[in-house]
Amino acid sequence: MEEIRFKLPRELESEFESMNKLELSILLNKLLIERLSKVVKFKQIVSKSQLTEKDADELADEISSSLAKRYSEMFPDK
Amino acid sequence: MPNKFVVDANVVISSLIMHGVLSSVFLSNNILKKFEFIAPEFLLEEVKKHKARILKITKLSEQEFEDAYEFLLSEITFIRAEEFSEFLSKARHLAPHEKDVPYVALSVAFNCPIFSGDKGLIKSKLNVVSPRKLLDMLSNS
Repeated sequence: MEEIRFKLPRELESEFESMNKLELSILLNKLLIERLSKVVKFKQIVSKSQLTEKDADELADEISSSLAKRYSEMFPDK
Repeated sequence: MPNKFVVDANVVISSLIMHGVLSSVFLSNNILKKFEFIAPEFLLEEVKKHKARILKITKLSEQEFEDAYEFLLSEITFIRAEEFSEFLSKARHLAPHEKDVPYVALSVAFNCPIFSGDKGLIKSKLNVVSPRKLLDMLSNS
């Protein structure tokens, strides 16, 4: 397992003072997994996508047109 | 340097392109939290209306689409129509195309640039930041 060293922000030093290093390590491990799991999942999904730039442009134009129409109907006077 | 950007459908959809710049922008910003992305409130609802076609084109499963959708949802703040509707009229004169009106109105209301890869918007005289430029801005932070 890779080991990462980092500096605690000064304003948080007192919060972590009462924790031992093992507790701190477990806490940071959990936070890292929680934070990165969403990123990793999104990256994995996108890596499977067959979407091309041309398809994306066409689809985005359709969605934007539909969105603009919706606002135009909601606010006909504006 | 601005820290708030209006995102359009082009950015949201193109973030699903494999090895694309846009997924890198959202992924980097998720970690760095440097920029705030805002969009008209119904944008992702409109994206969802096109779900069947997106699934067909991307070849992603329904669950994968839902997970990607959730991720994007968490990266964008959606702005209620009431907060920018008074600028729709002005936006109609400024936008290069009718489809861009909600984004331009939001950009005027919040006085921030539009983040888009749409060629028409990029060529316009509006304050538009391309995906490549935004990624550079993130990388240089």
